[in-house]
Amino acid sequence: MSDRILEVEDLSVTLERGGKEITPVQNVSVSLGRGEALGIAGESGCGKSLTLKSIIGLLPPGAIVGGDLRFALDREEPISYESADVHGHGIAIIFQEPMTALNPTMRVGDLIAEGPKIHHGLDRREARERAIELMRLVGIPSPEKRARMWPHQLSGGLRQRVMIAAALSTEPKLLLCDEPTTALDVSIQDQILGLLQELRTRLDMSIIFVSHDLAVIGELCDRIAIMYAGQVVEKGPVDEVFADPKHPYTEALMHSVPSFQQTTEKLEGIEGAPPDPGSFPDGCRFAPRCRYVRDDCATASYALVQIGERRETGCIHPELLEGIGS
Amino acid sequence: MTDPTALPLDLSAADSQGPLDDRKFWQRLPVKVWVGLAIVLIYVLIAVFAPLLAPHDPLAIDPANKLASPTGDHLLGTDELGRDVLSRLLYAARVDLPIGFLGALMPMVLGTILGALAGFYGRWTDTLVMRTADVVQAFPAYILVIVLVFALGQGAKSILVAFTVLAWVVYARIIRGEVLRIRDLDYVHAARVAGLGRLRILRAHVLPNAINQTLIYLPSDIVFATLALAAFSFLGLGIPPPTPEWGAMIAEGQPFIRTNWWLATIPGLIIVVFGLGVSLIGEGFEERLHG
Repeated sequence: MSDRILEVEDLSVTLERGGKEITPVQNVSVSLGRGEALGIAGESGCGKSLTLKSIIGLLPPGAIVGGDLRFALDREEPISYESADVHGHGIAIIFQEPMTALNPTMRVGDLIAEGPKIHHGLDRREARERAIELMRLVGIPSPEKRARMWPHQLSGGLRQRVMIAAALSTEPKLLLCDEPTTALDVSIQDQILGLLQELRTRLDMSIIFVSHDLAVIGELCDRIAIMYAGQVVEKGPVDEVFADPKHPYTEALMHSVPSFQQTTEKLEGIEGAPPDPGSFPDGCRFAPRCRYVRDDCATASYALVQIGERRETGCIHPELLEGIGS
Repeated sequence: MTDPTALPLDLSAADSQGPLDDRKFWQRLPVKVWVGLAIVLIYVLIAVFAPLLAPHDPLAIDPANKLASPTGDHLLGTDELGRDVLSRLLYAARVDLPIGFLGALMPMVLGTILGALAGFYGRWTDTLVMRTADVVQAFPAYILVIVLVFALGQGAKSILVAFTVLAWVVYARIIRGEVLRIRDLDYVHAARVAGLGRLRILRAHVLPNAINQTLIYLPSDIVFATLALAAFSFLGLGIPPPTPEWGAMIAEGQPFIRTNWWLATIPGLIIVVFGLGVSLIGEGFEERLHG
């Protein structure tokens, strides 16, 4: 028996773009315990979504995946898998845009019933009842009535709940979330986060939550992995990372988040733009934008170094960081 | 309508605000759709009840009474063999309508299947289907019909085979494009992750969303098939005599256009009005779906 449910080791994704090979995800290693929620944060294009999609085999055709993915379905050691092995068995995914994530030509009840019908051999009526049960589980009011509705007849928040219900229909042990709250307004965002939190404890489900929104990750996740330019630059428990970042990029991200307490200080952006996957700089990839940059940063090879008990950083000069408070 | 159990912030009242509610879809159809449907319905009723409506046997020859002007007995006169023109026009609906509809539906079915396979499976399936489509499109239509008529004999079967072989290409292209777009949408990804089989995904999640575009094209294709049948019959490649058919009747009436102008004109008008009705339906639906 193992506490680990997922191990991603040295993952890389190589795509072809304009006749050139690019590697938008490189050397990514993360692991996840049972019932644990891991957040993956970073700017758009940092490879966080690709990382998530490679776990479930949703990469564009022609993508080459390197490294090792291991998943433990039952109370056993995680073992290497092919994406087809976990489709419908153990891993499910929810997406950002609830309109394109629900088939517009299917009533939502039928959509949710599809998984149970195929995987549990339920007949039409049983699958329908199961769908209504799942809709109730995700907090959809009057599910009997709404099961007969089309996706466009539901509000954004309800659509997102339908998507979650459909994802849960295969009884996953790991739920992948690709920015599922980004397209929702803040009050609904809160409800969906609360729902995910509740489902996680009730169903003993692990979650990987990808978002550019640190506050959202802080609310839901135990641990966080910060990604920059296709690599994980910092990992650790969410509260520790937020309180005391060990990578200049994390610190800069924290500074660029507006907060209610912060009234006098000017909001700081990060100088420059994230590099394109076609032209990642040598050495530390954040060095060109880093305010603490030293000469040896340009030649530093990538490695995550253990700091303290549960923290890891990709920065070779973490001692230079001034911290959030300053 | 308020829902007592609804979460206060969930805007659950958004139920039924959808633009395409089941009932409202029909209520909000433009008037032109109803006009078109009425026209087509009249044609269908005529085809079904032609034996009851026709005053004479459409094939009965009466050489003594040929090329008669309209009278009480022969409301639209007689043709050069003395056959009752009205009866022949009514009976012709039983030939032209089925070929018009089937001549569009059969290519649609074939094109949808081939286009879906090409778009969804890609690789060599795609290459095979689309190169075949290129060849068909480059082939002169009338040559193909002539070849088929020689091979299969004159008649409805040859015409339908020819239409199917020629016209599937357009449907295949439309469907392939749609499938390529849809197969990368999140709901198809979600279906894959849920472990559904590829055929199930294609049938339940991809095709129903791809087919709208072909349904918009279908009415204009029905018009095309009807006109093409008339054209082929006019050229003697269509339905063989003595079966009444509108295009053939135009051809038969043409020599008498100076004396008995209605012989060629009325079947022509009948085809035009039918085409108009079908086009109105198509246009109306298109406005409704895009508007």
